[in-house]
Amino acid sequence: MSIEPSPQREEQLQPIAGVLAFVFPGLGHAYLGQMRRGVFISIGVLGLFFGGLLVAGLSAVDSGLYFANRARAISGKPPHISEGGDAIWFAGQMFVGPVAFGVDAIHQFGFKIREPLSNGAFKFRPPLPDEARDGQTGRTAGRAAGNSPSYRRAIARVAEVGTLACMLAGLLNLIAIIDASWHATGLGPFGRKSKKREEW
Amino acid sequence: MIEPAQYSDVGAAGLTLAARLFIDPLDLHTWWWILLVPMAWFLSMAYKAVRVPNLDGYWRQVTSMAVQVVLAMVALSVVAFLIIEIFVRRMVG
Repeated sequence: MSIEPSPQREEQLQPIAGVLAFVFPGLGHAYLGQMRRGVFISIGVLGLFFGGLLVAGLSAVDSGLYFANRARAISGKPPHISEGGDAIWFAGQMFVGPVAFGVDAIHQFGFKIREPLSNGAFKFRPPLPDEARDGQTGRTAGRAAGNSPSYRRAIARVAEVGTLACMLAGLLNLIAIIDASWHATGLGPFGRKSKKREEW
Repeated sequence: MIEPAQYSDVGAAGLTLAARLFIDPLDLHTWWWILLVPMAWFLSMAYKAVRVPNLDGYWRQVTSMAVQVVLAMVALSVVAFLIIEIFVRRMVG
């Protein structure tokens, strides 16, 4: 009995799939009709990312306001100062997509202490261990024994493992983005052209 | 009577319980190395989802890669331990 080889589909540039893979991990492959593959990518990438976030807390993702300051520089505004940033690590983490940018924005603007500077910009810094944060203004609410900071920064191995996991998530999604961007198709967007999707 | 050392123990336990998930770090400073296992697993899941041409043997490949990653890290740590404890000590001594 002979087995018919499945027709080979030619690989070609898939810009929409590439963009979707960046917007949400696994979405690019789902768009190409490979739903199961997309779900596995999504679980792997987001499992690593949120696993790192669970272990090291918000301090695992900290761009140091790199992109916000580039945008401010374009519009001629003075840059913010962000203490405790890890822009090099964020260079890998950012490939998780809007999820990583969202977590970073929450960290910078929702949890760091905001101090006004004389040039109109702000200095964002992590709270001290006994320093409270005013939820309305983002400014310090003072230091006192027993105060609970808005968040605690991870240190030592826990910080390393958490930050590394988040960065690995980004680099793995970069592989997925490249794979989705240059891929064979034929099933149509989300497998609509095919009666039976290639995988489930 | 509570000794000062017990006070600090109670404090440490309180801090652990008070940790807000995804905001504060977990107190895993003693057990951080266990985290390598789920990290290797998720890493293998994402990598193999892109790499394998057919998903039929997906879970076997994921398990195989995760085990290889963990074993490689164990081997690296053993090599690093031997270098530091034997060769570096001999060089210094």
